[in-house]
Amino acid sequence: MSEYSHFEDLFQIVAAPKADATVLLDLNNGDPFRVGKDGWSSPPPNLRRSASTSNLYDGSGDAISVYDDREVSLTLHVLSDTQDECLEAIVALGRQLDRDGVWLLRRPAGATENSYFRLKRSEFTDVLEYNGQGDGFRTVSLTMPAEPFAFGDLETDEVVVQNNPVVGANRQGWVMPAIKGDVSAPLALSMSPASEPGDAVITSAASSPIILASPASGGGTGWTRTTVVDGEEDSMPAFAGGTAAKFTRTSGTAEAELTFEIPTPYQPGDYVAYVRMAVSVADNIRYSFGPVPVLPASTPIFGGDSGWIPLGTVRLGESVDPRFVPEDSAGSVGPWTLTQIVDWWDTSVGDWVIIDSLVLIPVELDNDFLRDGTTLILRDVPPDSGFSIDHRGVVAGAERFNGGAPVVVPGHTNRVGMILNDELTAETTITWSYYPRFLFSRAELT
Amino acid sequence: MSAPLAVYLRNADGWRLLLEVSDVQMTSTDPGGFASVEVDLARPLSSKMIPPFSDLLVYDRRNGEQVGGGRLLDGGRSLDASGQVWHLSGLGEGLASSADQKIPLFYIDREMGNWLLHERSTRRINASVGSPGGSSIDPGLLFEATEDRDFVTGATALMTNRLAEMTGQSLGAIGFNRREGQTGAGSSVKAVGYSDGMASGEDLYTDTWDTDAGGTRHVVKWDDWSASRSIAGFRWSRTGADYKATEDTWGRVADPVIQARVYDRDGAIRPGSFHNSETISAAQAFIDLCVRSMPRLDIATANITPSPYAFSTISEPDGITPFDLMEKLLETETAFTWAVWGLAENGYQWSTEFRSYDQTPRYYIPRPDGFTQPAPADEIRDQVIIRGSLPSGRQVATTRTRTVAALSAVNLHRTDTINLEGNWSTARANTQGDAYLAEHAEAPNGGNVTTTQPVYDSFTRRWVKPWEVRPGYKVTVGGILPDIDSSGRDTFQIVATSYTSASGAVTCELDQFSLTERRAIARLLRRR
Repeated sequence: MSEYSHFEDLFQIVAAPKADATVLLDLNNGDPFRVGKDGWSSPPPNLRRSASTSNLYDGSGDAISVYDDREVSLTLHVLSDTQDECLEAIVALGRQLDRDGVWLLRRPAGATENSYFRLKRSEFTDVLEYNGQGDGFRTVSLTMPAEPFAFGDLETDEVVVQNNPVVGANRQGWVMPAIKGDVSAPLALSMSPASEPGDAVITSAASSPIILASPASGGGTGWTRTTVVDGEEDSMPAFAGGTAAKFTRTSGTAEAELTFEIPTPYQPGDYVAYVRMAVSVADNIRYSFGPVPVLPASTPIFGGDSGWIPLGTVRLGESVDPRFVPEDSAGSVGPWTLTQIVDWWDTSVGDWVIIDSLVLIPVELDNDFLRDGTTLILRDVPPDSGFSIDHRGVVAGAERFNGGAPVVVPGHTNRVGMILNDELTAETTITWSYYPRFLFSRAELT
Repeated sequence: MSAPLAVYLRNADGWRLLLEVSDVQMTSTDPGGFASVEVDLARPLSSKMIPPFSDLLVYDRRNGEQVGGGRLLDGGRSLDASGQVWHLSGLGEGLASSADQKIPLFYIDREMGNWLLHERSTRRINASVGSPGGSSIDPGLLFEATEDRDFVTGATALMTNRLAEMTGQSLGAIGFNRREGQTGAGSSVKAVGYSDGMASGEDLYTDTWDTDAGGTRHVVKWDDWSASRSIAGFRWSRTGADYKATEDTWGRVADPVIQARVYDRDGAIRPGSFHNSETISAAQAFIDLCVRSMPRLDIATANITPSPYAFSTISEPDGITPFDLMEKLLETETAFTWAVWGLAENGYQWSTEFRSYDQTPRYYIPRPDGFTQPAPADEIRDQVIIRGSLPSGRQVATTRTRTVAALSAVNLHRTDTINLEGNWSTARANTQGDAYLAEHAEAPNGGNVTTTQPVYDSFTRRWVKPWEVRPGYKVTVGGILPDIDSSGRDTFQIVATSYTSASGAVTCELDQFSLTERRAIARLLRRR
């Protein structure tokens, strides 16, 4: 019988990385394959680094580091009773190895979770013949290059997301349950927005966004500021916080500055800013956002729209060195400058702009530079259609998309955000899924 | 961490994320914006050819902003020991669009030689370029009747300028001064306009002969005309009874200037009042070029800073690309530049800007990985001669000088000669000469600096990654004190950037001459 203490280890070639997938070839059930003692090795993948050194400073700077393929090696004994049985088994093995993308399941005896290795086209390093053995006993050594990470079973769930940034259990996004794995994993999403969304922005970040329901203070020349409430404005019937600021142009060269008070403390870093606003006439208003309203260049809003307008990447909190971790900051950020350029546009007294809420989504926080956020912007999503983002970041269902697909990172809070250019009351059901990825192998809870 | 860049291919089949990218190289230049993108794909050669003129777009995955891109010009494949590789090369949309159309073009033409006699009713009258005589009368378009012969009723001569007909443009305005040698109601002088091929015409200005009319400048403008006109003309006629011509029977049009219609950023033609000044600025020319020849550039929402210099002549009948025309204009308007970056919000045009250089340094590179700086002193000049030609054909020159400490110290003078394009204007020659001397007062802070580490952007107050650095701005480099250059500050000007994902490094070219479109393409082809 078994002289191997690890005969309960599970080594199987399976059809898919799922617990109930069809077993295509069992490599450790003695029929006829048995993994040799100390016959398995799956060292974690190496890092491929691009680092630079210079005589101008100490140490090296890692510009880029990515993981290489890993190499999995296996020694199998073919415990056959006849030569034919042995040769047939080796043929069956060869058929599997000759393919690209074969899934190898491994579960050490006593472990509770499966790890799946996605093999590339592999080779027999050796077939050891024991000449004169009538039972066809042979020992096969395999070297199998595989994708860098081992996969765990698919994690998936459904969540309902509201489009209102201040109201709802999952307002403009949701926090993922604790992410399993050692390294980041791409998140696949599929969703069916309720009605015509236009553009959608999907983000994944290490913390929640900062949401401001209306601009705190501000004024300027040539503008009159009033507060409007829900229902007063046909163009934007609902406001996230119930009220919004309306600026109506009264004269000549109009320039206004609005300052947003950021709740304290906030995490210094880079944020992508979206504002919900409406303008009375197309192409009339220009704005710029940031501590110094020079760059990014101000962008006009295409009007009649009420919707979420991207303002670009802004920085909250000053820091001298990206490696220095400042204390969490407090206070206001701004000014956000709203200007009307008279010499270029036909402008008239009475034009207005309504500013409802501002959302700042973190993309790179100062104390977390091992983790960058991702932002995927989908444009012109057709109405009443579903769209999906797969594990490679390929989007189905949107006319145009740019940026990067969402990624979840273990050991951090992971918040996936979604802003739709749709009604504030819109709700969307989203199904998310990811395969946890491991440098070595899957453990139970993580 | 890996470089968070995503490369997309966009063409008639839609948008596609390229998953098999093995390397991305991007360059940007000033002027021009995104200049090139090269992508290697590990993809079987048997897959479908990628159609030319597709767009390659490179996005930063973190914030969804475009950081590079270009129009695919070369989608070649190769097969060698390293495998089956597609090598896609794209030229930045700004450089590509500005080279798409090479067309004859003018905005303001003062070339006297473009006026030719079109017709005369009798050989006893003539119209040509000349001077009526007398010491204070400059040459112009001169009409004369033969002395001692009858200037008969109905005698008429017409001179025309058909430049706009040749270039396919419509006239925006005709400007002139006129004066005649005799005063009389029986002789008339007219400015006229005709459509292509002299098919139809109208009188745009009429008056009777007057010896005192010389001081008034007349500009007739397109929105007062009944139709669009491409041929400008001046006609002198005898409407009254015959009389014997004397030596004073002449009419002269001085400084005849034709202007083309100019587009404004919303695609409409600028109103006639625009042409009153008979000048055009570089910013206004840039806007017109975008509307006229570069429809892919989003000029409607572009960031345009008005430029101050008033060009009194822009005329390129031999044909010119927008890139080359802007290069000429910016030789005089040296404080300005233009760039085309990523896709605009509308998705079918590219965002464009025309702006002045910021004197405040934008970037700070704290940890350069490499730095070179050649310091060629033979760029230093303290005197320049600018030469050109008057409308009459006479050659002229003027000299500009500047005190340069490095040369005075060794009692050396170094002179260069440059040509002024187009008709002579002393003011423009002086401006160009002074700009030249300002650039050549010190050795340029040339060289390269390379970094793989984050760079501080003082305008947005963020640390940006190497691939986000843009040319056309000044930079200070940690640990290296540059020489005080001609702008008087201890900073370098970035004229081009080049990023490779293989090394994760950006190389910034400093203070050297800007990359022309030809050099960009040559560089692209050499890399293959």
